[in-house]
Amino acid sequence: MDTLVGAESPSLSSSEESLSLHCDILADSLFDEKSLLNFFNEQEQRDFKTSVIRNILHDRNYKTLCTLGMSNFGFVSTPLRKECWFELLSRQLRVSQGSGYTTNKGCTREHRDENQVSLDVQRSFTSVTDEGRKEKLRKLLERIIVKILRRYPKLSYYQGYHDVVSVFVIVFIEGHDYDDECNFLSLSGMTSKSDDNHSNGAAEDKSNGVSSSTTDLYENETTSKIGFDEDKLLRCVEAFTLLYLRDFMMDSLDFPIDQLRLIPEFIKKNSKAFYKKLNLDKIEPFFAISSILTVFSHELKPSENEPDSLIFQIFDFVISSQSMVVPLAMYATLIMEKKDTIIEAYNANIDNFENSVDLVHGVIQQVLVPTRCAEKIWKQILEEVRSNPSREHISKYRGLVNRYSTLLTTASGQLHTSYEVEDVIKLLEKEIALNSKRKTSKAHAKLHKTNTMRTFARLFSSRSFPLICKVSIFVGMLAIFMKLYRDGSIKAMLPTLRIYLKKYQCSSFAGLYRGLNYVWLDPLHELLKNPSLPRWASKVSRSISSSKDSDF
Amino acid sequence: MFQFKLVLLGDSSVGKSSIVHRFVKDSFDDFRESTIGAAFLSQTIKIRDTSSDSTEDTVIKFEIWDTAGQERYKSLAPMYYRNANAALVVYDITQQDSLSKAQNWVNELKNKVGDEDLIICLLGNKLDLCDSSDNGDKRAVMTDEAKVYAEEQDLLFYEVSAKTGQGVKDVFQSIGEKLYQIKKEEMLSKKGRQAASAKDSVNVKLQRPSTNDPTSCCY
Repeated sequence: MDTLVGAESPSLSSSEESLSLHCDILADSLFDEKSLLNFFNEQEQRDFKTSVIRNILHDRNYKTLCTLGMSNFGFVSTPLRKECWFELLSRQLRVSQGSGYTTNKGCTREHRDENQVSLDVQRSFTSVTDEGRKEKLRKLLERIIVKILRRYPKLSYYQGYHDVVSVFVIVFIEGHDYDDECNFLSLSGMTSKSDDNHSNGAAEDKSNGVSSSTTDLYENETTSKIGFDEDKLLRCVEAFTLLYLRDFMMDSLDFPIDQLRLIPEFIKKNSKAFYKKLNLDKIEPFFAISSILTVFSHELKPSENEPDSLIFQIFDFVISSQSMVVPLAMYATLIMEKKDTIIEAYNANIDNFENSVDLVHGVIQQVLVPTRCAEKIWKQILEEVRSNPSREHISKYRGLVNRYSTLLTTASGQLHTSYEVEDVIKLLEKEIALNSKRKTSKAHAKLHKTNTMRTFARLFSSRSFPLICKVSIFVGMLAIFMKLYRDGSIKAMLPTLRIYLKKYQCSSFAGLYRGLNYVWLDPLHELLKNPSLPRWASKVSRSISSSKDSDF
Repeated sequence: MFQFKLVLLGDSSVGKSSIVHRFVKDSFDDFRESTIGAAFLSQTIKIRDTSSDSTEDTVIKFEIWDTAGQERYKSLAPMYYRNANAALVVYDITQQDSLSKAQNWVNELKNKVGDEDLIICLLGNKLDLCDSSDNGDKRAVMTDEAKVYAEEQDLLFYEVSAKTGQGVKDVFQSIGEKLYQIKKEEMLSKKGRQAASAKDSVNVKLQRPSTNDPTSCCY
């Protein structure tokens, strides 16, 4: 860390004074791909950006921080990243002092998914070689997840959430020989000291009074080394969970699957031929589920030994842009980037798979697995997404996701918005209610597969059904009624209808009636067969009225 | 070459991915990372045809779909077991609970796939933890209990250890042989019916007919 503090390259350090004044103006263009800074080598650029970020953090210039997070190198290094993430996330999710959240510490009731959590945590951090370290990381990971789940018992845990949280754990544990007991000791020991330094700026962000410790980099360089701030980590995970991952934490996969459907839309916009080739109009894009649920952390496992791994920069980008559309756009870009390979594999395997669902899923899985380790491709994709931030509004796809979805609310890409935790909890509750409603209606639909009325309703409400067809159906129906009316047969039909109605009433009391749909279909059927209407109508009514006697 | 689709189902952490990796890569990790969604792998094996005159082995390829075990991923499973030729339903012999989850899977397969030719194999994993010579026998599901159930339901049944590799190859081998047998009979009857048609250029449909419609399955 020491090296980073004073590491501005000689050629740039002289401009530092004016730099802090104009940081926000500069930040917009300074670190993009075509910046003049490319004249300097990568290390120089990194050092320069480091000093810019430090200044911004010092000034608490939130907007510029977002811009910097989205540009080249992200937040550059782990120590900075930690501060920036906390700065951004604690701003995006505000936890006010007096809220129930702060006092809710004694919430110890076990969450229903804790068993699954420990099963997954046991299998996390597989790449860490040091057994002791691995054990400590796992313990911390489990504790964080369990704390979040117990604090918000309505959230449901999903396999993959542990991957996301492990990214935060790796970032926040950086530079610490993490130790349970030592952690709490050092934390309480340094509180008083850091309070003197900067109580005013930090106070608003604090969830409890104890921990206003390491917000400022300069003074606390040393203290942050000793104490690991679990509260900060917890605040970040909490904000990320509630604002970005909320859709995934229902008790079913419906909402994440909704989100996945944006991916084919993005691909379609890029290349319609490719979209058609992969049958994406017919196939559900389940192949992307692990990438999206884990924001790529399942593919790109975070590791302490690789602080420059692109997974961190992906998170920088997502948090800075406040957008969960980013992972979806990135996935679509990844597919487009690998287009040729995918087409090749598709053609090669076309005989091996009998159905196109298996074919596309198998091919995409096979093509994308090697990209897990390929930094280059991820770099390319990040550059792509950075240079073409999906400016188009998500509202275009409003119909695809539920209206309380993260994509439309808390992580819609709308910059610099912040939410009160209470409001987000309200959103969460609404979403959960919607989810369970959908589950029951789904189960209902399964039971009554042929429901004519619903088909009609869907036909008329769906946007894909062209207006001209709707109009023509309407005109057709109108014509039939006109004809009936002009022939005077409506009058003739009335007694028939009355009888049917009576019959329905009687049998519905007894719970016997089954065939309401056919009341309407039968006369129409006869009508089309028999041109001489009045005679038919009177015949039917006669026959019905004669059967009436036998019926009742 | 014949190709068959195979799917692994079962509760979380029973060792589905470990079994696949033992079979495909002949490797084992004590803690294999959780599967999210599903993973796809393929592997070929050789089958000796005892009935035919030729001494050459037949190569068959398994297209293996390894699914996630958590309950919430269950809704994705139909996509993977649809059109499957064989399903490996895995349980952990040290966890009584996992057998009942396996039985749920068997029921679901029987109800939803409705195909006589689907081979279901009940697979008890973690045999290495149940070494009877050791004192630390962690067995919770008796072999007989599972065996009786498997016979009732007409399933193949094995106990294996992905860790030591014990029995894993045999499972895939016998499934392969069984599938090959079914395939051969199918081909023979087909040949019998259309004896006049061309011989070696016959393009045999290896998988069972499918509905290409993703909405046809119930999620």
